[in-house]
Amino acid sequence: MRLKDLQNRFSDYIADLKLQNSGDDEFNGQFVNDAIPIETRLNIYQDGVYSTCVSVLMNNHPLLKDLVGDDFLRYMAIEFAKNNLPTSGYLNEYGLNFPDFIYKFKPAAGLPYLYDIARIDRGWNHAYHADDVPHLDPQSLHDVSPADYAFLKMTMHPSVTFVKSDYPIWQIYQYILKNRGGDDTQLRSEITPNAAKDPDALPEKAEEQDNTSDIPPPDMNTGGENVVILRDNLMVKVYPLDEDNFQFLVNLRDKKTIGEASGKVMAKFPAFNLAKTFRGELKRNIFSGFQLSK
Amino acid sequence: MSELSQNIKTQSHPAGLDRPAGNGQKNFDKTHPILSSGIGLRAEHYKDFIDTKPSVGWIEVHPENYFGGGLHRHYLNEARKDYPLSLHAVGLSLGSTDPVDEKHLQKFKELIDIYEPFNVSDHASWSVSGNAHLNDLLPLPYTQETLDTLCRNIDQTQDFFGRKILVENPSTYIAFAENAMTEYELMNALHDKTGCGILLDINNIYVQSVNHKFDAWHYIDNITVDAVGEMHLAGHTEKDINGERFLIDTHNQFVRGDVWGLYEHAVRRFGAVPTCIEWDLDLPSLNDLMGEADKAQSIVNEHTDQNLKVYNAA
Repeated sequence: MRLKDLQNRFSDYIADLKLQNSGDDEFNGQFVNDAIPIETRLNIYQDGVYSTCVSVLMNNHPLLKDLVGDDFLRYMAIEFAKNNLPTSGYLNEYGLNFPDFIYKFKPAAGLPYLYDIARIDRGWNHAYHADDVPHLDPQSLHDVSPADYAFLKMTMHPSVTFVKSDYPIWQIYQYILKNRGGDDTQLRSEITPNAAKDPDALPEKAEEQDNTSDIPPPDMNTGGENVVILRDNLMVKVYPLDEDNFQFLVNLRDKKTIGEASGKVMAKFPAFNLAKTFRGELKRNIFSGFQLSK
Repeated sequence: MSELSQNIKTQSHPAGLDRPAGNGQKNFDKTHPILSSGIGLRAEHYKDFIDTKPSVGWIEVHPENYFGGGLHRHYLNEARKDYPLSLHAVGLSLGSTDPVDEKHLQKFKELIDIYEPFNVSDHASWSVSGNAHLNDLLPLPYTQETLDTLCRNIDQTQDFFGRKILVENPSTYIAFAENAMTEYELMNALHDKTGCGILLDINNIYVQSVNHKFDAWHYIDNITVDAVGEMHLAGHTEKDINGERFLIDTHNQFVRGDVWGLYEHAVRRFGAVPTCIEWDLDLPSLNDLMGEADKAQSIVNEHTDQNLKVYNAA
């Protein structure tokens, strides 16, 4: 068998968990047959591939893990991996569509906010691994005439993710952190193909920042909340955003000028305080640059 | 003797290359190791490692974990200031019939340019087939077609990087009926045809010698001496399948006694070669990991002149 065909067949075999016994005579004939069945030997590779996928998802979703527990997260991860093997060698990107999978995953339908919490986990991971791009130095805006501020287009730092939800995700997020208690590290473990033959042997992983105290349980009737996730120098941070500030920033992200973005927001939220919001976000290091657009 | 034998140079002191002044990331004057023993540096050990600066010759990391920025890069910058570095990849898929992914090569090369590793390596295995990236080190039949494929991809990689790489012998759990050569013949041929060095994983040889019932010492005795630019040691897991002893390369425990014995044999043949302790799951304390590195170093000290051989990447 030509190498290309052999790799295709091998790849198909590993991908298809349901047809573990699908090796036909031609395929099985490629291997040395001895006291250990070919199927047993092939399944070592299959287990290795799937357990790496599961390890990556569990490593990247500590909030989900705290909400639903190890067993249910592993169950969701395995069901996801069955139809979503990696398409890149960069494992940090594996599972970008895991939140979308959870959104439609029937056994999780009773916890509709899982989708949004999964997106916070994803945003956290994205921020953690984002490129080292300098934050915008507020001093650099001093050269811009105040009359031109309305024509500025801002560049978001590459670590930024916005999550909008119909559920009180900021309260849920804080509640998870409170129940964790005493976390003091931001480090995420590395997962490599060399290190993932046994999904039960995962190292403890990823902790969030923020020490919280006296956080009440989330009140699910308080309506939706929005958060932004970014990396401020080396620290990943998660903030709540009121609807007006959220819409303003999303408009800036979508390359509207400050004038256009604030105009849109003020039409809906007359109390929107542009100067206060803009100063606050500058201080938060959400921007990495700007250009004058007129 | 192969004309490539001059690829091995003896190095008993740091090269001390002049480096451009600049962004602060280039102050890495320790280009080459003096001590042979190194460790795979993992995120859980970053802080301990940088705080205590243990006596180890060099560090190794997987470049794929450093393609972005943030804390991982920060700690690697800190560690690199004091230790020579080897970049050991898992994602090039050198054995795939498709060429190596240029985007992966580009990200990898950016790291090489910044961190100036003394060794750059990946495996004689494959993981990419069409759109599938199977994130494992999958086995290859040892045929002329496989040799040609590996050589083409190694040439592509070396041309892209402008330097020689090392290629590692994998652990495998299945053997191919159409094998036309042994693995050591394949590894030697890769060296002869492309000038790449061999990263000889002693644990992988041992694991395979049990799984495929061959003589691990014979394997080592037949590897081209001048080709070996690095060695690896790691722990493995032992299983019983249908009454047969079967080993899996799990990197989750101490190096086993038989593997230490095989390492000593390799050191007698290859001399003082940079040797990395790999431990990826169920991580021990940094102290225990250093204990493994010390053990490897003491074997080198006992059996060699301690003049460290470093593979010439040029």
